[in-house]
Amino acid sequence: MKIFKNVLAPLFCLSLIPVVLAADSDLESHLGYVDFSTLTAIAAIEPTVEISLKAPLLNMITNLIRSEDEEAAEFISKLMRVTVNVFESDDIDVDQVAASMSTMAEDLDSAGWDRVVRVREDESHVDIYFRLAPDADAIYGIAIMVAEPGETVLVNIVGDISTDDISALGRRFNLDELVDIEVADN
Amino acid sequence: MDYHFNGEKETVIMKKILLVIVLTQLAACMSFSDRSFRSARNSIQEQVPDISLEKEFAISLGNSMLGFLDVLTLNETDISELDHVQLAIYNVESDGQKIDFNEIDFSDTLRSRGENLYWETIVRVRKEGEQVWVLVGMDVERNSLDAVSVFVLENSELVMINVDGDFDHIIEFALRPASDRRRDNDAS
Repeated sequence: MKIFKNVLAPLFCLSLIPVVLAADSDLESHLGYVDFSTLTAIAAIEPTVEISLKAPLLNMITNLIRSEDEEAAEFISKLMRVTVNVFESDDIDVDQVAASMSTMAEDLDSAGWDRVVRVREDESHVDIYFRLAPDADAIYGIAIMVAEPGETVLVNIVGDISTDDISALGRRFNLDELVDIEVADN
Repeated sequence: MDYHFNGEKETVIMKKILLVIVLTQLAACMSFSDRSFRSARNSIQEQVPDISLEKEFAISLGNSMLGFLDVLTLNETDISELDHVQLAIYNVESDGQKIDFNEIDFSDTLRSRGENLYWETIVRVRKEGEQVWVLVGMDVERNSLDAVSVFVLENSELVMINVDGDFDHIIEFALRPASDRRRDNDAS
């Protein structure tokens, strides 16, 4: 038992490190992944709210709800990472964040992302991007960037989500806007 | 008449006995000790040595009590599948030393809840005078979500919440269609 505690358990933990690192590197090379580090560096504070749902947890939620809600389970099973960062501070220079957001938006444009929403209103800046598969039958990623005085919000959803899954989820949750994706697709 | 009176008296006594039995059963599934949090408390004190945590309040609800509450709430959230819901509130005593959740290894803090559990922090909230961390404990081998822990630090009060059991119904409740709720609201 002592041998297990002192030798085997640390070895087991060490053996997990490459797996974890590989998972992160897979994610960063995924087409739907967005590196927000330049924006977070400008904020220069830790996020006020930070939500991070990774693949193992998403897989478990999928398994838990599959018997009860096949459509929601199917949708969640396609997600690889959901990250939400909210920075709340009056010290954040909204103009600087907005300028950096515009640069990042240009990068996303040139990387093949589709701009879905762009708002430039007074001091409010919103950009929503989708990364679609070449034949537009799947969404690889969603990026949402919001900069307002006192608040910056960054969201990145990474996965291989089919439009069928989204419209099914829209029907399930009675969200017409999502159901329409299927209509537009057809 | 006398018989009728005795019958009534017996019924009242029976009711009292039943009530005592039920309350005893429920009390057995409930405790006000922070025993289940002591390991976590000690771990935090070891990691932030200049503070001490003094218990203010603690409550631990077992499965039977949760089943009872589930009946009382008309099965609204279906908490009957949970094994434990435990809560403890500690007063943080320090000489100006502040707890920064970033500097605490919560995996170590929660180790006593099972060597087989892999802990992942899913929510972090940092506000002026307030920090909230939500962690989920997963048994990767069984591919199951077994526990949720919440740590809330507000000024000089640390709240710890542990929930164990089957989260199937809770997640189902969380994912219940917004439309259902909207319809309920419209109907009322």
